[in-house]
Amino acid sequence: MTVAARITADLAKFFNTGDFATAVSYTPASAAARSINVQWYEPYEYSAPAEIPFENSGPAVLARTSDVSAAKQRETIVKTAVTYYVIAVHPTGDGTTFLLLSKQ
Amino acid sequence: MSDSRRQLLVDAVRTRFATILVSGGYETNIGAKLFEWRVTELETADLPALNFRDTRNVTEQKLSHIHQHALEFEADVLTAGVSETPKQIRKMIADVVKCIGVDRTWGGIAYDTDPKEDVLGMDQAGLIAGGARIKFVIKYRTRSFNPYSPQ
Repeated sequence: MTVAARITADLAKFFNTGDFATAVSYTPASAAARSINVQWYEPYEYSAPAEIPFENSGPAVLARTSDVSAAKQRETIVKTAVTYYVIAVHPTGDGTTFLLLSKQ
Repeated sequence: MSDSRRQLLVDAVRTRFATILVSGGYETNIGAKLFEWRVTELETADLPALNFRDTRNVTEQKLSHIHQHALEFEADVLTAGVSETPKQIRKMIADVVKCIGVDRTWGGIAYDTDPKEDVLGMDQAGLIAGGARIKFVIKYRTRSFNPYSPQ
């Protein structure tokens, strides 16, 4: 079994809150809010409206696709009382999905 | 040591742009976060910001003793994390244009100022960021090959 296959089979371990993950409140477009475990990222993000450089951030979560299978733009994720809006949905093809987020 | 006419113009632009405040009759306070030739990325704490630079200067020989200059400026305005971002950027553009028009000779250093173009842009990541680049040209004269001396 390849390492990739083992990771995919053992995906739950990557979403343990005691290890790599954190719990957030995810509200789908047409369902009630629920808690899901995600890996949280907030790297530096370069923005340049009208070619003017701005130090933005690029919050994103890696979630199990089964938890966000019908994710859409403008759905919300709340982490530590801050609401983030989904601005892009990118399935990775290995059972996980990246949700790119914005505070606006 | 004296400053060149170009330096005097840049100083005049900086002084004038610093007056873009709501208390001064403008719609925004971009004069409070004013930068000259800032080349590093703007941060959230810097916003709303106005960053200006003198870029290209085109000189023509007029008669035998006069240089006529067209000094191009860019004024960048930027904000992020606010509501109605495009509307705010349009206000900033209007404030810069209004400010330039207060005195097109910049205290008599130039003989005129011409508008050029402005470009508005938006981007969204963690915050919605909006900006615009406003270009204008200040026209002034010096003695030939003497940047320190008025015509």
